[in-house]
Amino acid sequence: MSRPRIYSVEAIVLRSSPIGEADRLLTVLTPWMGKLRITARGVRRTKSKLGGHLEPLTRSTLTIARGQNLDTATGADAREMFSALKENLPRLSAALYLTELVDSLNPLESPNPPGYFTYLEGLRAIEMQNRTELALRYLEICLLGQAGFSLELRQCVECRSQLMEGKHRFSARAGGVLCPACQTSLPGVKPLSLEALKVLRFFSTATLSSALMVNVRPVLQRELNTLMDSYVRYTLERELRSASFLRSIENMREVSSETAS
Amino acid sequence: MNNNDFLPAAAPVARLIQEFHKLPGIGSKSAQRLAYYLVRMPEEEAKSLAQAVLAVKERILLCSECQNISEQDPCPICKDPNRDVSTICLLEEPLDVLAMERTHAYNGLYHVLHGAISPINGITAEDLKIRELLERLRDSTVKEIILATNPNLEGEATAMYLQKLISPLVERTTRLARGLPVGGDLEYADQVTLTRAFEGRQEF
Repeated sequence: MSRPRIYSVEAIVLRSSPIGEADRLLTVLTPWMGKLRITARGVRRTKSKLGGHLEPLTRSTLTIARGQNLDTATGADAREMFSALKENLPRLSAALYLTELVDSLNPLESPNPPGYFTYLEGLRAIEMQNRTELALRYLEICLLGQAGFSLELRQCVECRSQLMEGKHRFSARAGGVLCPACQTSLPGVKPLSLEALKVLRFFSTATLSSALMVNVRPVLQRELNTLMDSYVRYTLERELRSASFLRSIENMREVSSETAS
Repeated sequence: MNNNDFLPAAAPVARLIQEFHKLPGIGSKSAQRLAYYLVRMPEEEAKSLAQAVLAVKERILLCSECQNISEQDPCPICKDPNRDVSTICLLEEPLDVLAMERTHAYNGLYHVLHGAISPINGITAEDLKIRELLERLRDSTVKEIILATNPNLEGEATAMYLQKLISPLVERTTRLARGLPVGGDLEYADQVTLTRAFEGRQEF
C-alpha cells in the first residue's frame, strides 16, 4: 500500500548525516513502517525549529511529506530525548552500539514492531541502569532473535540431541551449542561454561527487567561478552564500528578508576 | 560515472561535468548546469577561477599549531602576540574559526579537530587532531580549554571524550553555553534546549 501524501509517525532517529547546504539525511526506525530514510531541510541552522527534535537517539512524532525520491520531515515533536544518556559517555557509547546493531539488523521499510519496542526499552534501560554490559548482551540476544537469528541453546546444533550436563562448546558459525560428543571442524568454536549457558537460556526468554536482576560475576560477564561478540560479528559479517568506541570508553573508565584507587 | 554518460557533450565539457559531479552535494544535473555556465563565462573569469582552485591546493597548508587551514605556518592567529595563549578554543571545522572570529568576543587561540567522533559513521578519536592537541598541552602555558564542538550528538560525544582526556592536563575545561538562539521561538524549542536555557539563566 502506498503511503499518503502527508503522514504522521512515531520514530526513533537512528543516525543523521549532513547533506546540502543545511539539511540532514536521517535514518529513523518506526514501529509499523520499519526503517525509513528521510530528509530534514534546514535543520543544521541554529534557528531551526526541527533540529533539536530530530537528533539521533530521540523518540519523536514526525510529520512526513512524501517525496519523489526521499520523503521529507516537515514537523517533529520530541517525546523522549534520553538526555541523561546523552550526557554520560559510557552510556552514550553503549546506546550508540545498540543503535548500530538495530540499524544493521533492520532493512529499509520492513516493519519489525517487536524490534522497535525492544530497542526503545533498551535505550530506557541504558539511560537508567548501571548494568549496561549485561543489558547489551540481553538486547543482542533479543534483537537477533526478533530478526530471525535465534541461538539454539536447547539442542546440539550438530547432532540435534537434547543438551545434558557436560563440557559444551559454542559455535557462532553453527548458531548455538555443541554437545560434548560432537567433534567439529568448524573454526572459532569456544568453550561454554554451564553458567554462561544458563544465562543465555534465561535471556532468550526473560524480560529485560528480570534479565538485569541476574547476578553475573566479572569472569562470567567477560565470557558472555566474548560469545556474543563472536555471534554478532558472524551474523552481520563485520564488526560493528561503534564496538571499538565502546571498548575504548570502557578502557578509559578502567584506567581512571585504577588511578583513583 | 564515466564520460559516456554525458555524451553527446564535447569531451572537455564532459570531463568538466564529471569533475563537478565529484563535489559534495552536486548531482549530475547541477554538474551539467555549472559546466555549461563555465562554457559561456568570459575567458578571464574562467582563468581566475582555475587559478583560485590551483592556489588553494598549492599554497594552503595546515598550521602546525592549531591545525587550521592557512597560508603560513604558524597561522596569523597563532603568531599574533596580542592573543591570549593561556586559552584554547576547540572547534570541529576550519569554518567554525571564521564564525568565532566574526564575534570579536574571543581573543585566545584555537585548535581545529577536523571532525567529530561519530562511531556509527566510523569516525573515531584517531581520525581527529587530538594527538596534536595533547602535544600542545604538554607545557603548562594553557590554563583553559573551551569545548566549542557543535551542540549535537557527535559534538557532545566529542566534548565528553575530550573532557575526560584533557581535564588532568589543564586547570579549567569549559563548554560553550547552550540555550535559545537569538530570534528563535520558545514554543518550538525542544526539551533539552529549554532545560539548558533554564540552567544557564543569568541576572537581568
